[in-house]
Amino acid sequence: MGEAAVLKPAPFQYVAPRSLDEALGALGEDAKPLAGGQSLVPLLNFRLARPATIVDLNGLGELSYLRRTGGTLRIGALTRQAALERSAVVERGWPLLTRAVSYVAHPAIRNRGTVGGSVAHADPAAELPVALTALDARFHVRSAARGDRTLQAAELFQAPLMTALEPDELLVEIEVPAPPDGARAAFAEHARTHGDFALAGAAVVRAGTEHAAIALLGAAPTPVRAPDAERALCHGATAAEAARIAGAQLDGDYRRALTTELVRRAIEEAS
Amino acid sequence: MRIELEINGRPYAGDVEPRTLLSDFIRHEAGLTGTHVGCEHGVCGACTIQIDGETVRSCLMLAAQADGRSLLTVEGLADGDALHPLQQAFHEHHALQCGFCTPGFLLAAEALLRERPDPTEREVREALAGNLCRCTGYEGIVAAVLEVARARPGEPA
Amino acid sequence: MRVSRSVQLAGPAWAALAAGGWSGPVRVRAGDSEYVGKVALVDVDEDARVVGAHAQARRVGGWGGVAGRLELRPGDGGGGRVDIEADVDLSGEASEDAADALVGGVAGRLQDAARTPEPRAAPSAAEPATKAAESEPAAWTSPADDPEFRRRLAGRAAIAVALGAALGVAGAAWGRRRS
Repeated sequence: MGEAAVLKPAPFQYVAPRSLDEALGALGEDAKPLAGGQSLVPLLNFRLARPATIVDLNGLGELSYLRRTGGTLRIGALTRQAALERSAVVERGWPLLTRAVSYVAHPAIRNRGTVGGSVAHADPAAELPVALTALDARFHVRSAARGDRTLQAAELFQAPLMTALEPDELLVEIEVPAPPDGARAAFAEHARTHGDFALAGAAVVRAGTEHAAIALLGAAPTPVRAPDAERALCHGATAAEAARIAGAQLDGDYRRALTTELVRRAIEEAS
Repeated sequence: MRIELEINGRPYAGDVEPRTLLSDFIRHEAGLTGTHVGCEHGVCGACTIQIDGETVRSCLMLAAQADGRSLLTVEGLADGDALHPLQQAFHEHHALQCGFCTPGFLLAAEALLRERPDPTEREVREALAGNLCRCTGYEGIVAAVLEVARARPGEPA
Repeated sequence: MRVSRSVQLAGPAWAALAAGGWSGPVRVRAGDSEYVGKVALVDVDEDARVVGAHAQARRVGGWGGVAGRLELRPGDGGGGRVDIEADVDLSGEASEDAADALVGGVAGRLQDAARTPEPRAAPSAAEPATKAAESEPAAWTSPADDPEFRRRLAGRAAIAVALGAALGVAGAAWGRRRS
């Protein structure tokens, strides 16, 4: 019982801080944060990640919240994806997030996985980074040495599985402004089975010709907006026309066709 | 490090390394081998248990993280010798062959039916999409879950 | 079914609601059944002054449970009153009493949290081992250390070995017959 034979991850030190400051002090090049664990623990189990220290953030209750203040949504980084899914506040004001999170993996994953973890992990097939990109979210980051800084999506997401977060930094809050009055939203993706990693997807927020935001999943190494397509919509283009413009940035016939169709569906649903 | 937790209403304690997975603690330290380990990266769902009534992939949690928590595994579903209605329905609908995926399905279905007592077939399939079965083709599983959802206490299923 | 209830807290209601220290495990009785689960703070709408929560509990030793959304609002006047509106689903053998009991359990947690102002506990891991303390974790032995279990396991292993050997012998004999 309990011999080394049944231990899958490589050995590591385990730290469970009780405060954000304590957690920030513990982070470093070889000391990785553990949030929901739904992305990190598989890497540990395969021994693809072998940090010397794991800093368990799950004791930091102060980082788990969904708060609507002055019309803005503030999401604590440690908020469970299931909470985002259940929230009436989010569904009323930011339905794109409610739709997007329902595509994230499966209920058991969402019970542990966190919104901040999904963002910091930056899987190119992840839904929440794309939805937050469409919503012009701002990402608040903190380190013990340098204090706070705020990043836009384009600054935060750098490459597949890579963000601008330094090893000693934690994402602490995601701030999502209120969409314009009357805005409608839609999220479309294609995966082989429900809950699978998506091959392509689109998040759309639209308020007539006043506002259009289109963010693409799987079209680039990171979530990207489609500014030409957004401008076209605001100048009265049809869903099909705007979708074609958005899809033009993709290489490969299949992905281009798939993305174009998903964008078209999302625009129509949000109109 | 020493951890203490409750599984199926009983206390368990043990010494674990930080890297000990909850699935391995349940199987090897607690001796409850009903929880199965299939893929060990959260894809197959065979390791699904419940913590405070919510489904969790036990292969994606460190045992240390379950300290002080209250767990439910498949061994806790039956009431003595009386099978849980889901177990009975799985039996009647041939919803298991090798049985490897079955504990994970039972706990996922049990949680689903408490949150959504009257699911559509599509809702059942989507909620259980995270549990993989290589034997049955899922039809019997879905039928069993829907039967229990539609059953009423005291009436024959 | 809808359940409404009001509860009086020791301190100002809104601060206690928004702080969320009342999230955590729930264990209640309804009739002769016990229900265990948890209540979790979901969202805080500071603009509309309402807190959303989710609670669920499973019937122990039986079938079914209760689950649903709750909205918690401070009463008028800034006092300690909290008005709870819950939309609860019953499943299996859970009775309506169970829905009332669940909301009662939430109300109880609200009162306890307001009485003892501690730093907000995480709604997830790192809960103190109060459950283990309740049920007296005495000397724990692994089932595999039970001699009776070992004997039965050895018996089954012996049968498997014998069967395997018999099949091996039969197979070898059959193979020789063919050639």
